[in-house]
Amino acid sequence: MQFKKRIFAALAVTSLFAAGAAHAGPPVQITVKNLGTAEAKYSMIGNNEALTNASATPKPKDSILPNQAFTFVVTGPLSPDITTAFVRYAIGGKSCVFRTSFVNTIAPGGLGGTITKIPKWTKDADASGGARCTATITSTSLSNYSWNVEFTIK
Amino acid sequence: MDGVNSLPASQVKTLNATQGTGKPDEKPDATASVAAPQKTGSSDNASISPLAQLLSDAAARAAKRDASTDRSGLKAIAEQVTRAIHSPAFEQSKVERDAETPASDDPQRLEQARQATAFLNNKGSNPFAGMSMEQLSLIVHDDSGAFTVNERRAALVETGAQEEAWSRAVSQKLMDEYNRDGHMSPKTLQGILDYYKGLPPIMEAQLPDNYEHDLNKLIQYAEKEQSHSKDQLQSLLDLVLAKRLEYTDKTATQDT
Repeated sequence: MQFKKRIFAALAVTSLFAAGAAHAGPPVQITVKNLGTAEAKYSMIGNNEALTNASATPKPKDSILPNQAFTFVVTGPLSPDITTAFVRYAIGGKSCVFRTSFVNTIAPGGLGGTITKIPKWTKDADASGGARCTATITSTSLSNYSWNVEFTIK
Repeated sequence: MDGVNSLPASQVKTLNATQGTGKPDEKPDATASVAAPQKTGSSDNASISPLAQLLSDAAARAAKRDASTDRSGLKAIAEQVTRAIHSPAFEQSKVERDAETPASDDPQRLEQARQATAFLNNKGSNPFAGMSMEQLSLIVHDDSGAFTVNERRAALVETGAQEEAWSRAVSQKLMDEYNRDGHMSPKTLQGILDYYKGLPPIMEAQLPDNYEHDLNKLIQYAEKEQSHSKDQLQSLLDLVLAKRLEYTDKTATQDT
């Protein structure tokens, strides 16, 4: 199943980049920190998480030891105005699903026919099984919309 | 006692020629270059340090294993042999592993194992700190009993620490390039691919099957972006030059 998802994501990324998605969305630098006392294991469920994995470099680490972290960059192959990243880590039965996104939306009622866009960054962490999960946007760039986010699991 | 960490490990470190270049150690001839036994003492009473001897033996076992196993086989072996040093087995075996001693009466060997246990109990430094990824991999993936469980875990912790530092540095480099040039450098992405491909085979086998494909796509995309940026810069320079020539011509006409 995991293999099928990776194949799907690989094909999706291939076609998106090959189609000359002339300008990809801004990159996000993601740092995942394991604040627990056992290892945090990486897994993927669904196409969004598979697509994130396919667009990530370095590849998210399969296992992060306690008090260690791993950093990677995810690019948005879909559009210059959108980048999303979905990451899932679990410590035993405690699970965190992290999300972060950038969307450049068109503001209503632009003056003189000009299109005004409003950049918006979001972050979210869903906990289950007693996990404590946090998502923090640590910086954003108003010039190119790249951003940094930190996810923690405990 | 600074003992073990200042003796064998420091000698082993000198073998790590490529460390700090962003690439893991050179691979294939593990038995010859990675863990060649190091001699200690003066020439007339030279002896091989215990860790160097252990690494040499482990490298021979690893080379034999790698030569006869394909990538998926190595992945399965890695999962099996590291079970004891990963969660949840590792946490569940604390009493046994903390009491485990190596089958040796060599003081250096015993001290290294003691140091690994102390480190895992937050009482001292990691005896394997600073060792190369290839040497750490030998310890982590050797379940022959030559290394204690705590030694192998300590080596795994050092592997994780080095990967953490590498991932942070290389990700920051990609972001800096994007912020400066508007795209990531194909060279940096190629460096990440080279790093992965340069890992010991059993570590490389644990990466997703499609990592090479994905990275090659990102490299191709970055090359297009770089070329596009160059074209834009060239167009801008051409425009500036044309304007300059136009202005010079006008000035010359007015002067005459």
